[in-house]
Amino acid sequence: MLDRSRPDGSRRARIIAAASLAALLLSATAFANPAVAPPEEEARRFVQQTIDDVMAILHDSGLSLEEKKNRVEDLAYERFDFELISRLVLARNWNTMSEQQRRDFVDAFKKHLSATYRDTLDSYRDEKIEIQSSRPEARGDVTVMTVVREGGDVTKVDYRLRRTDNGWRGIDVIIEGVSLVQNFRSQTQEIISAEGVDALIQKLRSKQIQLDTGTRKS
Amino acid sequence: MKRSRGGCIAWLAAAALVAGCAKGPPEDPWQSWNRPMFRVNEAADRWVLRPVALGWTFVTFEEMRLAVRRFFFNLAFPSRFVSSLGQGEGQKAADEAGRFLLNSTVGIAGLFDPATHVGFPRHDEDFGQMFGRWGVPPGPYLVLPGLGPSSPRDAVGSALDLLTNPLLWLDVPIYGLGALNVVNSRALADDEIERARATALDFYVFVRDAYVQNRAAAVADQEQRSPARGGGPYDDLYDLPDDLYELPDEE
Repeated sequence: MLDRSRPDGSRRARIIAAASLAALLLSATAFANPAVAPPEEEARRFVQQTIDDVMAILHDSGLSLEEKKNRVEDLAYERFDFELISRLVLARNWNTMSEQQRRDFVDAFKKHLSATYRDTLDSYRDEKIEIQSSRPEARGDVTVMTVVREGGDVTKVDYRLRRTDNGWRGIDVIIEGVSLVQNFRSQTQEIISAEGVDALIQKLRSKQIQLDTGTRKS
Repeated sequence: MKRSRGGCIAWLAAAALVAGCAKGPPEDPWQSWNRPMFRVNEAADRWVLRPVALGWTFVTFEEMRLAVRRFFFNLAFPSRFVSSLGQGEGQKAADEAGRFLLNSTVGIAGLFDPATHVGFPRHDEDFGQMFGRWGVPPGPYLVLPGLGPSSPRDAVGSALDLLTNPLLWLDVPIYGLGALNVVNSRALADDEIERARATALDFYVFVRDAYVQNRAAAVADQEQRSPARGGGPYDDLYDLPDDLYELPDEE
């Protein structure tokens, strides 16, 4: 018994040789990995990490609802590229806007979206989010498809991701086939062509105020 | 039953008439009909439907409202079953049949949903999607008075969904039950609807775009989960404006 568990000299040598070979192979793959790691895999890990982070905040019983909202908001600012989202939403209108208008829009739009999602957290009740699949897209983007389950209800939520200078960032959320970028593009296009860019920014800001007071009331 | 069918055809005819002389943008050629109708629907919701729905919420428990929704959803089974078959989706039709049998019996007339727990997934198919799968285009966006967002294709589909509902064949107080279903559904959706109203910059366009995108995705179902699939109308949705979109005067 004891003898068998304690390897003799030659066995030990073989084991060490095998182990070092394995270590070598492992480190080789580890070094090779960043280059060959499929971007899809990276993007999925990024989404999974974000889901885990959000869930950790939501299930932290030491935090008040207001604190949870602040932390989720900070996380969203970090994981989504709001300037890129703004540019995609504005599409060709971006080119006609002044530097100041662009900054104002990005700022107001960011606040608008985060205020909306803060409100969403009011009605959070233990939904489960799981990644279902992913798909490579044009321009190196990846779409990661998730489902949100609550009771018998299933909602499909897809995240479009792009690798930026700062790493992977969310650039669109597609809920039951409805792309946020496309939806806001339709809306902003309509407002810009009827009333102009300044009216659009004004509208975003006034909506922001409404949402804020709505939050305070509840 | 006759009356609702006639009503539907009359609305379609009216819409077609208006469309004849209306010229809107390509994504919404019937806008001069749709916008006023949307306003009418919004007013009806604000002054009648929503207050009634909030009253219903006040006098019921959420578990009751969910059970009522499951009851009506279960009853609408024929539309999901037939339209699944019509799309050649045998598995979906079988799932739906299994769900209906189990939920109607063990689930007490559909008030509960044991089928989901024993592995019969739900499939939200309808006649509009079936026509879409057959290659019928939706046609222009269309707001129906009292019914909301639709399209000529989906309006016909919705009429078929309604006509295949067993409530219409049974000797039941159809108007009362119909009203209950509408009020109950509106009550359950209140958070989402109010949030959408608060978020949207132009609620009419928000609803139109969401409806059109959602229906396109529902028709494409499994094959397509995002609008960014090559070749579609959203092919260049994720291009940056400065490298691929050009200003009109640069074209």
